[in-house]
Amino acid sequence: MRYEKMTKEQLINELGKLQRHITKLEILKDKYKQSLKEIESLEQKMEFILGVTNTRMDIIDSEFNIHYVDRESQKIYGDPKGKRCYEYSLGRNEPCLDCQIVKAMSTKSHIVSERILPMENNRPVQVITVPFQNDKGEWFVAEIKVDITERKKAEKALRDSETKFRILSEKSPNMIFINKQGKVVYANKRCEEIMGYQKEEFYSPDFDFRCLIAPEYREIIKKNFNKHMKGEEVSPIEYTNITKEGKRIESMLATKLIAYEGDKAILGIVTDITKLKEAERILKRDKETFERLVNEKTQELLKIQKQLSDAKRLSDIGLLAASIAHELNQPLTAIMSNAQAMQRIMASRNPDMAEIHEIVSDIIKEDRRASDIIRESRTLLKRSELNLEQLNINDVIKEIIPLIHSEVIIKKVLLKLDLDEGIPPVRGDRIQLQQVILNLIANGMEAMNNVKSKNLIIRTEQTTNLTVRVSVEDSGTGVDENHIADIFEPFYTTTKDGMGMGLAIVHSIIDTHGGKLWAKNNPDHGTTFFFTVPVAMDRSDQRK
Amino acid sequence: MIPTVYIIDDDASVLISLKRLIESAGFHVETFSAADEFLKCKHSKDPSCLVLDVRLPGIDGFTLQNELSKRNISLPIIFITGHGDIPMGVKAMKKGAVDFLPKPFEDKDLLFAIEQAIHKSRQKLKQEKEISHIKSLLSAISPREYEVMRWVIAGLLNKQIARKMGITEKTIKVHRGRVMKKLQVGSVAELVRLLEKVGISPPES
Repeated sequence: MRYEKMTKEQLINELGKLQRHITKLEILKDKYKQSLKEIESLEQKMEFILGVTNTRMDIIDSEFNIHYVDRESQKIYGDPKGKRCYEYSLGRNEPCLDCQIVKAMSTKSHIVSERILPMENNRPVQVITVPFQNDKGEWFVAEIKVDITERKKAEKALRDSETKFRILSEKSPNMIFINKQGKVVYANKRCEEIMGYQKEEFYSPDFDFRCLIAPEYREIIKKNFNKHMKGEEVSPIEYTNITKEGKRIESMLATKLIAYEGDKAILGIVTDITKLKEAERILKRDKETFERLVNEKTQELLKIQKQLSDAKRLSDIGLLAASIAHELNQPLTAIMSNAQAMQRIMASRNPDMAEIHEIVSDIIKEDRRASDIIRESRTLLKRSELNLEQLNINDVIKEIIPLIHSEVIIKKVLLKLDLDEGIPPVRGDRIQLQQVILNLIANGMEAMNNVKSKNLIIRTEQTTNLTVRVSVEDSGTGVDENHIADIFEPFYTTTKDGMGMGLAIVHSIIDTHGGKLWAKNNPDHGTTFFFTVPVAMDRSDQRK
Repeated sequence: MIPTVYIIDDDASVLISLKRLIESAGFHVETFSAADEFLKCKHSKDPSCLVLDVRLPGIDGFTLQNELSKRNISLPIIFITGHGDIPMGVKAMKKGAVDFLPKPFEDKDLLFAIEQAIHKSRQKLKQEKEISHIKSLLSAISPREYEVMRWVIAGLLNKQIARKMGITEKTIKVHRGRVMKKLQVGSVAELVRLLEKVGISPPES
């Protein structure tokens, strides 16, 4: 009904109605304003939370149009107006192949996925894609992107540590196991390789780990495990493992109590020490052999020392004896052959008397030669008190040359005497000085055994008013510079046969003469031995 | 033909006494005081031997022994030494020495050794003479005859040789006859013995 046709009462009534409507509207308007404020405040709170937690949120419709993007995103990605979601946040021209929005809308349930944000330094986020319908029945999705950088880091750290552990354990050259309440709950690859069981076998509930241990060690290992359980420390032990094939492996076991999957367990590391033990045994055997040899040699040495203290010059006598024998055999042969030739000549019909005379005089001559040699060697071999007299050292040297004559020839040594005839007489014991020179000559010849050019030079010279110096120079192999001080020590020798007494005797003789003895390697080859003897003070008393 | 005894010793007294002794036993003696002197001299073609001192200046006794065998001079050697020991003696004997006498020695030992050595030398010379005689006979044999001869000493019959060589039995017979005549032998057995001396053996198979 139109207002023109209404009565006054009717109009008043209507006006009242309108008044009430306006009031209602005013109330509603206030409520609406209030609501808007509340929404704005909520939105602000939400934006705040999103910002603080670095969480992104957007609302997208089924056509990929963006309806809402949080403020923080807008700062980074710009105004979303008129852009599709893939254009906006990924810079793509078309939807992603694995688009979670499509999936969520089709399944009508929310989807949790992980993604990295290429525009935000590739930071990882967890995306919760929630589909919903507005009051008009249109479908939207809300994407909530929660930052998971920390979680990813933690995951990677865990993964890395697992890899490290796996390498450490599985590639370990030692066997590593975990034993929980008598059951093997972990055994590394090395355990399989050495012991011959597969991991499944180790872990089988029927597997008795004691079969891995040689029976004689089972008790001690059991004790050790019990100690661990009581919280006591246990030292590593050596024991024997038995492989699946029954082979015995000598091992070293170190154990520790650990917590494993909420329980006490024993972590063990086993090292195969078979080779080590074998080496140890060999070493021990060698050591025993060596000790036995050393003992034997020491005994021998003591014996020799005893003999030497009894006959100090034994070695020199031996050396002399051979050359004396040879020297003596020459005249003896001549005498024998001459005499026997004479016998034959005399037995013939017409013996030539002139020849017989010649032979007899030769026999006498050879006999003298033999006695000379014997006399000379007797004085040389005789043990005597120090008998000091005035001597010409050159004569002393010349007297011994015949004794070494054949040795010099045999060894093809070029012997040279370089004697200063003007040196004064010295005070010394002829026989002992001869022994010194003989020893030095023998020593020099020995040193030249393995060299081609063998030169031996004996020199005399006056070095000071008070001393005459004798040197014996060889062209041999020389003396190790590190040992040049040791060579005068008793028993120091570089040859297999020598007793190492020769030079020690020389040393003691020169000492008692008040002289000095030393050796020096020559610049080119060999060594020179020097000794000095004091010049005789009383010149009037010339030697006989 | 008096056999020659060479002596090498560096000791003049020993050398002259040995010369006297050995000469008294009726040998011709030549003495040397060193090995190289001996090597330079001309050696007798008649039976001879060498009395050799082991230790000599320059070339020693053993080296000389090696040198002689290298030069193909077959001279029996008696070693004498003032340093005699068993290993040295064994070494000398192994290398074909007749004896090894340590000085001083008895005359009869030395002279016995010399006689043995001379006997050996004589044998050797005789053998060498025989061989050179056989070789001179063999030089008259033609290559074809030589081939036949080797089959003959292998014990093959003329017929078999003819088949092997692809010529007639009659020709073989002729060759065979010539070989026997040229080598002055009367039987195959004699031929085998003769050829053995100069190291000719039957062909292999």
